[in-house]
Amino acid sequence: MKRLISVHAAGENCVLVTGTDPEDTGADPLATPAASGPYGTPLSSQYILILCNAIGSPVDSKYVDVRPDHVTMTPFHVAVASTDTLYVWQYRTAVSKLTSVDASGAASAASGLRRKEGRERLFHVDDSSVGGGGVAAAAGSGAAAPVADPICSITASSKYLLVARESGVVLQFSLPVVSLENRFTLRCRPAVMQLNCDSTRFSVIDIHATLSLFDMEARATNAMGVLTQGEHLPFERRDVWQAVWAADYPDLWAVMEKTRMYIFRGTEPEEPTLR
Amino acid sequence: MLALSFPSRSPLRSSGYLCRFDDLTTTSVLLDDVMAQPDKPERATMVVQHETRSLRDSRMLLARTGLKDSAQFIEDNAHPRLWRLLAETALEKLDLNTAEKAFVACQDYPVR
Repeated sequence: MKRLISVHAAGENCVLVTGTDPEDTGADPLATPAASGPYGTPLSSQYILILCNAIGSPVDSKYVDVRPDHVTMTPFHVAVASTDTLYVWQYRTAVSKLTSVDASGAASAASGLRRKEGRERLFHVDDSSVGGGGVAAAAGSGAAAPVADPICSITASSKYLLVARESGVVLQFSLPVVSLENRFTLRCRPAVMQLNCDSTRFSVIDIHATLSLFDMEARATNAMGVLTQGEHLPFERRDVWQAVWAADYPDLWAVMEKTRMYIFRGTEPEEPTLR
Repeated sequence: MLALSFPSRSPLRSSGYLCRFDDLTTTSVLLDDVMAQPDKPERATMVVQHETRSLRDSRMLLARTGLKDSAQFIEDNAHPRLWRLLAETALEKLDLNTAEKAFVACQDYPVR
């Protein structure tokens, strides 16, 4: 596999992200490193998302113009983000069929094609009209000037796609129909986010390796008397490099701090630390 | 409620990459070891599983006390994995009533 950028997996599938430009055989890659984007993604004129099944055979692929600075995958969707543009591909439907197979079925050719259009979305992060239009409708927006507040992290579950920006604003899009539901503000600049299994909370590891939790269900009235949704919990852990939620229990998660693993129930460590 | 005191334990020392957390068990891959010999990874030594405290406690309870006390503990810490553990232990001890109840609780039964 040449020009591989990243690998992501969810459920029974995985996706390989690669660039399209032919291999440069003449130059020594160490002497002249390839040009790369702000998040270290090698630059290429186009990128390929190769969907593979459980035994690693390619079953579908998509060519995208969006530079894959951030990629996330759920059992139904692949989402790709550059600093300003989002691409969402629903590769599987709830009835457990790959959408590519669905669309090529001869019996449902007409309805399959019509639905296929809704399986891919491409939009600018500042596009306020998310919900309408498919790939063709939004294709022109990528050429705009550099975005003022770049995307710095994305994550997704079966219910939501979360898009964090460097200012700490997190956009919550609903899935499978991509539409903006909510806008949260964090007190940090996120590097990695993870949603829990029932999509009520997400963990945030910021660029200083501090982990915190955000409760999306919490409702509060702020000083202006306006009802706000979501609360960035005061709980914090330092020197964290990975956090993983339990797949079957919404309040349980494991965290890696340096070379130690802790398991938490809510905000209480399950294993008391040695003092 | 049972008042057993379990020894408090230090966090697990590990540099593994957490790849899965389900059934009250975390699965980590020791990527440093995998990268040392990427052509022949060994599942036995490079994949580490760790059970959460409630699963270990339930196991210990089942070994030390009866099914009845364990069932109470599991009811208080309800999780399908714990019910499955109780169901299997009860089956081994031929306590079929408890086993049936536990299998129902973890929804492991044929639907007609």
